[in-house]
Amino acid sequence: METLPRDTQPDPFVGTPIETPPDFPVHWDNPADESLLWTLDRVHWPRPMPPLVFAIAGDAVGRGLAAAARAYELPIADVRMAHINGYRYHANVPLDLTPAVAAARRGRSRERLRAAIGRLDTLWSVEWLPEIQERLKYWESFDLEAASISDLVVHLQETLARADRLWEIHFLLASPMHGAISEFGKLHIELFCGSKLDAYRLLTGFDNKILRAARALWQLSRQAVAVEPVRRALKGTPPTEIVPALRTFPEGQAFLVDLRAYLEEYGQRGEGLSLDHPSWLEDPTSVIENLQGYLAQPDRDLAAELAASTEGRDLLVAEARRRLAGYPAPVRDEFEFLLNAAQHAVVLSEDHNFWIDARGMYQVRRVFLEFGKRLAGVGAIERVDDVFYLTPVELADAGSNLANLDLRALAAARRAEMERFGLIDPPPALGTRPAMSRASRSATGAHAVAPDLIWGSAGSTGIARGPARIAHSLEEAGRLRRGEVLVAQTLSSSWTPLFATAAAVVTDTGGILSHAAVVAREYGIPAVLGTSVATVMMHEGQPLEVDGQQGTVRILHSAPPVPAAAGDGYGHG
Amino acid sequence: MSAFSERERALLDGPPAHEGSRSIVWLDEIECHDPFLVGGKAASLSRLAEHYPVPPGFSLTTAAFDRASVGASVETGQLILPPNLHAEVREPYHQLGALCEMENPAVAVRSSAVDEDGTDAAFAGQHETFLNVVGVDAVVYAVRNCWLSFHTPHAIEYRRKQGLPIEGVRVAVLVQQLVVADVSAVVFTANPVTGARDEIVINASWGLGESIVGGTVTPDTYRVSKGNLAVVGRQISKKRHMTVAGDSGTPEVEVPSFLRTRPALAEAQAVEMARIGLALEAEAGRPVDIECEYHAQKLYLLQCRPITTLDARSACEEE
Repeated sequence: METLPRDTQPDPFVGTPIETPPDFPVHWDNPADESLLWTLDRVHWPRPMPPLVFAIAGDAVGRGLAAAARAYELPIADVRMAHINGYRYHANVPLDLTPAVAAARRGRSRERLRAAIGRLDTLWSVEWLPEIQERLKYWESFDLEAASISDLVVHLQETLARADRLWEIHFLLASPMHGAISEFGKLHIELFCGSKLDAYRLLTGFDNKILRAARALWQLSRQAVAVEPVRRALKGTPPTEIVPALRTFPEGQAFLVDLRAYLEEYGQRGEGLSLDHPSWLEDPTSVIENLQGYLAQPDRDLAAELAASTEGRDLLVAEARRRLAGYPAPVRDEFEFLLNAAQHAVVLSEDHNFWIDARGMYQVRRVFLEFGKRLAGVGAIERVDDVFYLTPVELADAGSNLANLDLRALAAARRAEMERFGLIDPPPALGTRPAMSRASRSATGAHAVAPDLIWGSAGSTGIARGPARIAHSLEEAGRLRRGEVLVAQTLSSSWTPLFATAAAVVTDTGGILSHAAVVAREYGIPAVLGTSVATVMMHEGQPLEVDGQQGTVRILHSAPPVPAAAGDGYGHG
Repeated sequence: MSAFSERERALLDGPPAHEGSRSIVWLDEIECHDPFLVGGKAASLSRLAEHYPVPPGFSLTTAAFDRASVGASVETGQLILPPNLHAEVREPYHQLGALCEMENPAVAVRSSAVDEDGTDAAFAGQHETFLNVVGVDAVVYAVRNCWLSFHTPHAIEYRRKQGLPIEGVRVAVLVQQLVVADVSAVVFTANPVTGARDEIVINASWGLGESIVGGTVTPDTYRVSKGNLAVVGRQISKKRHMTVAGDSGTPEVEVPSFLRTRPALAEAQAVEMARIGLALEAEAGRPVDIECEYHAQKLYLLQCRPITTLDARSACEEE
């Protein structure tokens, strides 16, 4: 019997290298990196990003994750981020511990997380939020335009350091926050059977910053409805021309003041963490589109809906307490401990986003943009937003040599490369698949079981029918009309206002703890998440039935020709 | 049986004369020591309640049973409930509610029967227990079922086969607050397996005691030395089931996973139980088996009886 050469023999303790597709060349700066498993997080980072965005979304976020892993002794040695062909790949460096040491570490980790879960609200309101607000004040009080270029370079370093700390706080919060919600869900199922969704109903109906933003926008739409010339202008003008149109008459000017106030408070954000895209404050088009969508809904009372949600939750909590009255005290105590923590956690899962992802990163964007203005001003780059194609080091260097700088070709080449890679489907994983890895879910597993039925995670109960509105971006989502099913790859918090318009939401990625699920439950609309294939399989306008209890989306197209009254079934079912 | 005090003995020595006796007697009243009036179980609990925390309760006495049985037909299993039974139960039930600071307290309703010779007739196999009974109507219904259980054709047939008297069994009913147990325990003041009398063995688990007694859970086991009241053995098991007070009755449910392997008792609690066990053993003059529970860190005794299975072997050992 012939023996295979030693290097081709399969070794169960050595992982298998992952082949990369020909259109996705990978060069490892550090050869050791190839032995790690690098994955693409399609939920948060489905697209390629320019270098300056990666400095935050990759490097700073990675350092934040690593800090949280250290603080809670999570079972990883380090977190690494790589910017490969524009995409953000993430690797956890595994710990090499003996089973006994690993077990001891797990025990300490549980204790630390448990302690943080118990103090979640205090940690946030007494320690973390004041620190975040102090940082925001620092940025707000710095006069960017008046600063010299050397001051700006110093400010940039300070900004990057402060951004690091914000992301550290972000993930110091995230671990106990998700832990609280998930532990509560688990206990609730053990005690009352049912599903996690039944458990999460006890966590809804608390106000948070994101809901407040949505209600404020709704309020603004009611003002517009009440003033006829404003309503007419909003209704009959393309979104991009509305601001100039409103300026031409007094009621319109008054409305712009209110819109500006709304944007100052809630518009310091863009789509997700896309630092290279204008915030709503800079470009309110998507906000105006939402306003236009709301105009067609003259009879909703979002405040009353939240109140009803609160009341429904209180009833469920009371019922759970009644059922537990005859249980041993340790069970009741644990239930109360986790209920309280999880209720706070759900609020924080939205509020942290407002303060860190939105406001914090808006300030970072302002600093980057100021460099863009200076560089474009001397002709070193063509356009202000070319600055995002430079690295922080290149920005800092530019400070010492602004006069003779020409970075135009460099920025253009990087922009072109990113656009090119934006057209391909990036591999979900790179590097080496670990040999003894735990069973992990296939990153690409399609969830369609029948040609007209798609499965995902049941994120919010209810059944709704309506035509599909496929949105690959917030811009596309602006076309959403009342009664339509919003189908998107992922729904970040900036999409929240759309939930007041959608009949149901369906996503490719995300789980039942994701932002989309949390908000859908608040709005009481069905949600099916993590279908993997929804945006690919469905077509615009296709009639869908979304079952948020079963986690299914049925495409109704194959139905036999239906009578004209078929449209009756649309809307909430 | 436990040693009776002089007064109790005097009470017992007299012939049963309950013609004019009260229908309701509270556990903490001296009349409740009388097994002819309240049955052996309630009488023993009443004595226990003199010195130890026992959940409050009252007995619907054999006198009440006698009055209810007038016109009852044993042969057909008919029992005509006295028209005032509802009123009779309502008042003490609400008094019990006032004691527990609850409008409608959950109670345990248990039959506590006596034969003509005054011995506990529980062995007749018809010992009824209804746990977590809430509200006057439900209590009345449970009392009726306790009474009836001695009149069913099945019960009569059983007694006939066992050679037990068919007539003359009288049933008292004990209505006692159901204290929701955080932890229940069974305490043996001797090792029931080895027969060793120098240690106390405690079984403890979450919830009401039914899962321990019924054997549906493997409880934690503590062994406490009688000499110095030190815990000399501790075995924490995976406690999968527990009995809780549910909407109706006492369902057995799964213990949530976080709690399964957590010790049900603190060591100090095991020692507290052992100390009480020693005292009760001294009073009884022989090893006892105690059922008890903790609620809000407070220990309640639910039953104390001599260990019968130990006798033969230990008698031999002592010779």
